[in-house]
Amino acid sequence: MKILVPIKRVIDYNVVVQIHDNHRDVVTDNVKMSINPFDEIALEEAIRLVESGDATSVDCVAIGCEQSQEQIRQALAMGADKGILVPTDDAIAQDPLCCAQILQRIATDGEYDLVLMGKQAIDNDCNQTGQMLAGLMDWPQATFASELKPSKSGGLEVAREVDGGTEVLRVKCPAVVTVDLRLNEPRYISLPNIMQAKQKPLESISLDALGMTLSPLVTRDRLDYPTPRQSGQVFVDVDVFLKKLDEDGIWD
Amino acid sequence: MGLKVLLVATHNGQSLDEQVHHSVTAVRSLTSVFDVAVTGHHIDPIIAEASRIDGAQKVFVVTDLLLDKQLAEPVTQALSPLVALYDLVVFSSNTTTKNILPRLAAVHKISPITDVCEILSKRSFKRPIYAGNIIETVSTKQPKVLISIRAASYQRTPLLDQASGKIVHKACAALRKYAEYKKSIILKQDRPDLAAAKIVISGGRGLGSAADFKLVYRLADQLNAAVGASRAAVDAGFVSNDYQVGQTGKIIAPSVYVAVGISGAIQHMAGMKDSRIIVAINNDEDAPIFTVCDYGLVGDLFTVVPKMISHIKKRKK
Repeated sequence: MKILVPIKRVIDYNVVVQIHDNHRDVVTDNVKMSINPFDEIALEEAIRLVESGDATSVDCVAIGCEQSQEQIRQALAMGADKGILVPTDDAIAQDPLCCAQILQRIATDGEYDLVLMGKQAIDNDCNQTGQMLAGLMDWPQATFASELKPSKSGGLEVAREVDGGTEVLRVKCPAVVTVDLRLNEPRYISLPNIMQAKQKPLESISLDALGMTLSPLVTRDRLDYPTPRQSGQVFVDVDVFLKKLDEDGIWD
Repeated sequence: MGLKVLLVATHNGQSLDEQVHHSVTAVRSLTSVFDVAVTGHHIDPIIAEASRIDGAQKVFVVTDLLLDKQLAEPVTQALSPLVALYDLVVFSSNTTTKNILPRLAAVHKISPITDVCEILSKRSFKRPIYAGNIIETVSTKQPKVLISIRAASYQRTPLLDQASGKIVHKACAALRKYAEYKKSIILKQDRPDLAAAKIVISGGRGLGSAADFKLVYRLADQLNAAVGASRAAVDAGFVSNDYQVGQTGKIIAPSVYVAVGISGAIQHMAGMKDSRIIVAINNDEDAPIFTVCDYGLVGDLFTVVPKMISHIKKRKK
């Protein structure tokens, strides 16, 4: 089983994101960038499937700016076998349908059996690309996975986190599985692995080489901060606090 | 010809999902009349509810055994012919929609706009990004637009007393089976639904253990409130994932949200900051939750919450 893990370069989750003066972009200069945390969990799971002998290899692919190579190198240091970069402008990298179409080509050309990816990216919070890819490939999908095990009869048994609780599905490969936060805890990368990762193959495939011309169908017009909530009163005396809640009739 | 709008009504097998009632309000901001689609298997009570949606003209019903569990692949196949007939197709943001909508959009080569918090026009929308820290205004020239509505941003429109929508059964081409449904692990709650409750009591890491999390239930019982949790509390195993409120969990906007032992991580606040009133109890006066709450109490929750419980008990008498 050959696994493909798409990874997205995003602003690190610890950074307080600022809007650029042009009100169309967010500030990325001198800002820490990381692999989208959900993608990192997908990658960890894929590597574990190789380690357990259930999969043969894991390749990772990033769509976006040239600097996404940093995240690919990190993925290679974690244990991916090969990295692929599809250089695009940010508008394409932020567009789920464009990304799904690129991934469709990469997954088809590379003859992958499983695409394992994050359920959403923490920048645009779309939660779309995996489902779109499954639709374009006409493959089964199992989204929001919190547990994944290869089943004896072939395929994968996937526990999905849904609003009502958990749902368990069995999918036959080829398939797309998107992962949720509680699937695993990604490993730390050791220094020797970082050194080793420098020797691993990293291929760049342009949209031209893929013969693809893409333009997003949804355009971002503007970014704004939400209206902040007025902060209210903070008490230290519990009796005063409870009295105030009663007076203001908040339970009624 | 006016704007042709289809509302896709998701459900849990028993009744319409709570979020659908909020999407109705969003749809009605664009048009007073629209059609509704429901898919499933043995869903007569749901069809009856759908026909009472205020503004529903036709209620298209597609039933098939394979639609029983609302898996994305068969539902996509069932809805595809309907999508072709409308200018705007509206879903309600929940895990069922998140699973289905992007797949349906992609097979029609449509780029959907999800988690819409404000409809500016039939082509322009606002949606939260970066865990709700930034609001993005987007627009599209696509002839057909697919969106999902974030329930917390819209009030609920009650169902009509009488059916108004005309029920139209649609046959669908033979559905293909993709994934196999095994089972659901639904933890039965005797409490109000998190998505629909007027009052929500949520617990965080500050509760310390699953045993002590019971304090949250006890307070909730006094107020007929739903129970929620922060991601930290879910990760620590105090409660199961379906309690999680936040960027990757449920996004809710109850009348009153009480955060107990929750510091207020960005990703948690993304799920509750549209609540009408926020009450916070935390022993750390620098906790970020105090910057968004209407009423805060700095104190030890193990002293405060029992006091609250007995106070509310007394008050009820």
